[in-house]
Amino acid sequence: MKNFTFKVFPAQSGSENKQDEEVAKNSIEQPSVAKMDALWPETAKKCPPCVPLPPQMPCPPMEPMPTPPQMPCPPMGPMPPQMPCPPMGGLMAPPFTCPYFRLAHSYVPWQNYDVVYNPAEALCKGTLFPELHMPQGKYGPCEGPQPCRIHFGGGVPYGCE
Amino acid sequence: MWIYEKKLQYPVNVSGKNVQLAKWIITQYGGPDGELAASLRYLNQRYAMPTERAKAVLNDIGTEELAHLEIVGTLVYKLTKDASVAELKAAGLGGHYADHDRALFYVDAVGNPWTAAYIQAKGDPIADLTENMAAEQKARATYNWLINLSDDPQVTDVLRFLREREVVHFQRFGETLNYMQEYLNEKKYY
Amino acid sequence: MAVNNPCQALLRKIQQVEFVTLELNLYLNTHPEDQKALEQYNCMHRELCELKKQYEQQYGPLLNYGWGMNTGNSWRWAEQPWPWEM
Repeated sequence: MKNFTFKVFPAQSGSENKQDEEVAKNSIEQPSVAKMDALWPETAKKCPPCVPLPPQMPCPPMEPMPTPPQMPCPPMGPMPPQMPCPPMGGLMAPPFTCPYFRLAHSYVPWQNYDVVYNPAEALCKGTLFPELHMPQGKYGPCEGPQPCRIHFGGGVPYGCE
Repeated sequence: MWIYEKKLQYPVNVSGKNVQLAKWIITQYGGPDGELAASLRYLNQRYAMPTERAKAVLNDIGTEELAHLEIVGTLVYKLTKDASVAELKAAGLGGHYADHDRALFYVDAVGNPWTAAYIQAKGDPIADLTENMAAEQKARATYNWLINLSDDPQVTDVLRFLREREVVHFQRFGETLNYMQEYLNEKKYY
Repeated sequence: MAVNNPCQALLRKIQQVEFVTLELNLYLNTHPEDQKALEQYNCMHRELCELKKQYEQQYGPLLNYGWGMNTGNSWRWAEQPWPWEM
């Protein structure tokens, strides 16, 4: 801890670090250097004298934000309380005649099997059910030896850049 | 209780010694998305499930994962059988040899030991079933990468079988989640 | 999935039939009212029992803890090779 130094810019003339000085010149006006090893232990318990806050960085001129493509507004009005019933096969739960699909929940289509593999083929394929047989590459596009690059079209880069 | 059956769920053959491949495959033995984690996760979540169906699904898939653990263990055992110290060293298993000789251990592909931090039991059936669906997807993806790394067609055949089981389990957990959400919703309003 | 001898051939048949019963078991867990699946499950279960009985009579025990018969005058459970050694 003895050599621990807080450097607050701008550096004084005696600064050993050339790079620091370079940075210091470019930075806004700040309180003077306070070296903890010089202050410790005699004055450490005392609050350092209050210094006026540095002037605020001026805001950079506002760039006009790129306007996202406008989604057409959906027609106003009460939403239907229930999704329309899907056709039979796939989405129907055995005990529920018309499932209610809610936001922020996940659902998997119900499997209703028709034909099955014979036992030898089932073991070989890893499933009894042809509709669940999804070998490498059939489940999704990201399964091969090449890295998966899917671009969801129309997007623009965003973030801090 | 469990009763052991003296056979594998799926036959395991290898073309020969392949220490490098074994080092990668062992992640499905003791890695974050491996069979040990899967089995222990599901068998442990059974107790907090509110429906009989969910308990059955977790029990039976958790049990099948133990069979998969034995398949992966057999792969690693056969691929490293009679490997010399030089061969282990060359494949980056010198550290494993120092700690375990040729014994199997629950580690991932870079040697990290298995930890219960890989799994969760939240007590919320929707959260737990959703975790299980994610776990099946991560295991499917791991088997994809292992298939891409494999240079032994007989090993690839076993990995292909195990990968397909993840797809089937995902479907069953998804159906269990469908039912659970309806069950909890009905319980709330009627 | 080459099979070299009659013992392995019978074991393979057991693996196949048992796999079908497992798949139907998992399916029935989420579709407990599916009559066709129930019927197929019972049918495959009967076949599996027959095959296991046949295997144990010829090649030694598959199941322990009182589920399999010991044949002969010595304990056969630990005699046969383990699955990872076959």
